[in-house]
Amino acid sequence: MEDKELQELFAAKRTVEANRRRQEELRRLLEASATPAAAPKSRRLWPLWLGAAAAAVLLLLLATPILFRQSETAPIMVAHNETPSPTPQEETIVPKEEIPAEVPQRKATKKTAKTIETIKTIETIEPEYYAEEQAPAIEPTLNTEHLTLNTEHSTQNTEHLTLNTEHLTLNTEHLTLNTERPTVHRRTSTNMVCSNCDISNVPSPYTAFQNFLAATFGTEPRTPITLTNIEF
Amino acid sequence: MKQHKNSMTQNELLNTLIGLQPVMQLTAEKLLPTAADAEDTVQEVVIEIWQKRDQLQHVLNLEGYAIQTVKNRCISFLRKHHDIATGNLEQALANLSDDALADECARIEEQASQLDRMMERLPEVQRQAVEMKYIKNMSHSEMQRQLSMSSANVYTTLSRAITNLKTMISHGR
Repeated sequence: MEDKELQELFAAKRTVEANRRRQEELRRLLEASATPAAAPKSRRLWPLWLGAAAAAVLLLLLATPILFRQSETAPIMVAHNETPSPTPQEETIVPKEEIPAEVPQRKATKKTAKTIETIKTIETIEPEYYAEEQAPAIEPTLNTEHLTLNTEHSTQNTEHLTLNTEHLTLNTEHLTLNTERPTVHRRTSTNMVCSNCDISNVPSPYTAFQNFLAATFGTEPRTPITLTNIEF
Repeated sequence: MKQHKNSMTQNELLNTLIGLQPVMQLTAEKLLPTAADAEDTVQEVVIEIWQKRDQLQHVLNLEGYAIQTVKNRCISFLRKHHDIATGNLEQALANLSDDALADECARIEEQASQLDRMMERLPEVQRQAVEMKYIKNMSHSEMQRQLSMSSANVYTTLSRAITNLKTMISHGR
């Protein structure tokens, strides 16, 4: 009975300890996620303000050339207005044939005549005149200023140049043991004779001993002792 | 029941949610197959409530809301993992009233504090040995290293501690 109760107490203690650990983990998680929500709205909106300021600067930069162009064209308009008034003779230049019949003929006023005269003047200018005024033709030359050889990335790539030894296996197809002529020297009764190389001048041990005795004692080798030649 | 008032500050809400964690964990453990799944579910629910804290001003009973959210999340988990038996789930949900959960949580807390009181009366070495063995689930070799004792001494110390605890329980009746 005490065992069961004790086990229950241990289980409860383990549960409480585990819950304490989980609570600490949760607290850490919630406190970490609480920081951005607690920030004031002005701080959270700073990217919008920054973006708006950047957009305004960009617009200003884009609009600046247009504004300057307009200010440069204004004096030209004034210059057109300052064209000298035509002479009375020139006022009658407008031919009546050029005016279409459908259009009700209108008496050209002084201002209209001036405008027509200006247009006429512009139209009568030869195109070649402008061509001459322009800069002389430049012979096309190869601009090699920026044509430099970019060798930055043209290094030799030796990364994958490894020796492929995958198929370098030893070819043992024809490497067979040649046992056709065994080089075994066999001895005959009298001389050392090789059956393969036919060497017959090698003396047998007996012959060699006889030769040794002859060389040592200077006599012919004796005949072997037999019963027939024994002297009594 | 704790009431979530409109005037609750962020810090108070955080403490309330942390305080509700044991009840939520118990609810999830009764519905889900493993304690790890229950822990994950509770964590998700707490974070969700925390992120929606600006929209929860009208919720008066935060504990009920949290427990119900945990139940719903557990049912979704079981449906998702095809691990649901309708009859068993209905019975389990019927047993999971808020009051029953609160009572069980209180009982667990009381048992843990009772064990604390009993262990305070044990000698230092025996208390350490009991904590390592039965609460931290340490192995005997780890206990030997921590306590600088031989294996036989660890066994003897544990045996004496358990005997003392049993005596305390029997005297407490």
